[in-house]
Amino acid sequence: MIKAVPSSAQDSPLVRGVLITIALGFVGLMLILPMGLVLTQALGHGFTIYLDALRDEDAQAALRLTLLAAAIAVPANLLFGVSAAWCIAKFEFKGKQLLLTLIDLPFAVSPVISGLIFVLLFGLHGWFGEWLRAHDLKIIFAVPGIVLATMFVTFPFVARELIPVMQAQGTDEEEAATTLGASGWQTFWRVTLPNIKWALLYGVILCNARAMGEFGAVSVVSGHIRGLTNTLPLHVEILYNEYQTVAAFSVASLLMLLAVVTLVLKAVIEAKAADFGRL
Amino acid sequence: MSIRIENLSKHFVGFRALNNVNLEVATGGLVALLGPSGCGKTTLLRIVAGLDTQDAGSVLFDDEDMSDVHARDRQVGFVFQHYALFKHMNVFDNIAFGLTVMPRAKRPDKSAINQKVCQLLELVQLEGLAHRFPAQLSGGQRQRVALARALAVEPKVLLLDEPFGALDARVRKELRRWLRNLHDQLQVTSIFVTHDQEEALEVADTVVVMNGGRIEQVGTPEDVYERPATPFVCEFLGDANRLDLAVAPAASDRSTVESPTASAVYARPHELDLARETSTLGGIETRLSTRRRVGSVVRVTLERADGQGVIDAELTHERFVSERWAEGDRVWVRASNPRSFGQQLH
Repeated sequence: MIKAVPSSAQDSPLVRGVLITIALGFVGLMLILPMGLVLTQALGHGFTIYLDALRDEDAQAALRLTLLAAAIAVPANLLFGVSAAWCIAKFEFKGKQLLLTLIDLPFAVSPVISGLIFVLLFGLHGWFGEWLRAHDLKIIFAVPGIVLATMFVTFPFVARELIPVMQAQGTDEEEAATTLGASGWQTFWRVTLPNIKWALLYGVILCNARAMGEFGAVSVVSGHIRGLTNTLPLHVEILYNEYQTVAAFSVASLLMLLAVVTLVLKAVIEAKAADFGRL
Repeated sequence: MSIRIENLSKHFVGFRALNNVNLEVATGGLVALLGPSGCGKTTLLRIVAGLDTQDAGSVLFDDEDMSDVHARDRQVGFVFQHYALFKHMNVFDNIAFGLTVMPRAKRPDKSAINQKVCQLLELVQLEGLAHRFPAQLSGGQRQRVALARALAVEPKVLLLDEPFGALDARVRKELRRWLRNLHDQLQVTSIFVTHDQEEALEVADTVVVMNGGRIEQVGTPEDVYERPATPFVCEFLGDANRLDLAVAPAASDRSTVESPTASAVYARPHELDLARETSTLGGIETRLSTRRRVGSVVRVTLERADGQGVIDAELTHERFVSERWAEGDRVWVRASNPRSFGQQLH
C-alpha cells in the first residue's frame, strides 16, 4: 500500500523542478549530446564515406581482433566467475575474504597499470622475456597480450554479479537436491544454474561490453600495429590523432552501437528477472 | 529402519555443537528433538542426513554404519524449515525431481512417475495444484509439497528440520495434526526438530530434550513433562517456578520430597496451592502483585515476602472469582507436586 504523502512532507514544486532540470540537463550534456555528435560526425559527409571508413582493411582487422579478444575473454571469465561465485557462496574456507578482495583488484587498479603488469611479466626485459624469446613466443605487442589484458580487466564482472545472488539463495535447494539423490552435475544443471541464469546473463553482457570497449590496458600491451594488434578503441584513437575525423567517428559509432545494444539487453534482462522474482 | 547414534560429537569453530550424543530410534518411531536454539538439535539432524559430518562417533541405519555413505545415497527424506522448493519448477516437477535424477537403470518411466506424483499430491491434499509454482502457494502448501517431494523417493527415514517453524500459529496446529496422521499411515521412521514444546509433546511418540550439545532426557511426552530428569528439562518444558528455599509440600505427597533445602525444587504454576492463612504445612509468604486473565485461566504474579523474586501461579478463572482474590492480598503458596533435583547443576 502506498499512502499519499502529506503535502507538508513534499518538496516544493520549485525544488522538484530545479532537481529534475539539473538531472536531465546533465544527462543531455554529458551523454546524449556526445552520442549525437558521434553520429553526426560519422554520417555528416554521407553514408558512402561512412561505409568506406568501416570497410577499410585496418578497421576490419581491428573489429576482428576486438571480437576475438571478447570471444576468448568472456567465456574464460564466465567459467571463472561461476566457479569463484560457487565456492564463495556455498563453501566456507580459509582465504575466502582474500579471494573476494582479489576478485575486485581489476576494478581497483588503473587499467594502464594492469597493462604494465603484463609488460613487466612478458615484455622483452620482463621476467619471462628471455624465455619467451628463446622459444620464439610473442605475448606483448601481439594478440595473446591483448587477450590477456582484456581477460584481466573483465575478470570481476561475472563473479561480482553472481556472488550476491548465490549468497542470498543459500544452499538449501542444493542440499534438498542432494538428499533426493541428485549428483553434483545434476544439482548444478537442474537446480543451481536455473536459479542464477539471469544474473549470469547480466554479468556476461557487462563483461562483453567492457571486453570490447577496453582501452587503457590493451593500449599498453598492443604496440598499435595497424592491422595486427589494433582493437577498435585503439583504432579510433589512431584515426583521430591522424585528423581522420570522419573515419574515427565512423568506427566509434560501432562501439556506440554496442553500448546501445548492451543497454537494451540489460533492460530486457532486468525486466525478465523481475518477472521471475529475483536477480 | 532403525537409527542408532553412537558417541556423536561435532565442533564448530569456538563452539561445541554436539557432545557425545547417544540415541536410538526404533523402526517406525516418530521422535522430536526439542531444545532451545543452539542446543545442537539441527546439527544432529543434519549429521543423520549426511549434510554435515561428525568429528567423532557414528550413525547407524539398521546397524549399518553410515559414516562413509554420501547424503545422496542414504535414502533419507529431508524437509527444510524454509521449504527449499525448487523455485523455477512447478509443483509436479518438484515432487518428481527425486525420481527423474535416478540412474537410468532404476528410473521409472514417464507414466510411472506421473502416477506416483499424482498419488503423492493426493496424499498431501494438493490435487489440482500440480502446475502452480512455489511462489504461488501458501506456506502450508509449500511445506506439504516439500514433504511430498521427500516422500517420492520412498525414503527409509524422514527428517524434518523445524518443519512448521515458518508458518503462522493456526496453520502450524493444523499441519501438526496432519503430520501425526500421515506418520500413522506411512509408518516411516521420522525425526523432527523443533523448539516448540507444544509441537513436540503433541506430535511425537518420543521426545528428546537437548541442551548445550547434550541430551538431557529421552522419554514419552508424559515422561518428560511429568517426570523431568534434570532441572533444565523442568524449566524448559512448561512453565516452572524455582522454589529453592524450604517449601512444604501439600499433605498428600509430602513423602515424595526429601529435604527440600538441599536441592533445587520446581513447581508448575498450575500446581500451586494458594491460601490466605499459613498452616502447619508451611509455605512461602507472598503478596499478589498482578493478575492477568488469559482465556479460561488467571495468571498471577506473587512477590515473595523474603525478597527472593517472584512466583508465577495459574488458577482457573472460576476459582479466582469464588475465592475472591485481589491484587495486594497476602498469599501463602504451597506446591502440590514439587519436583526436586538432588545434584544442582547451576
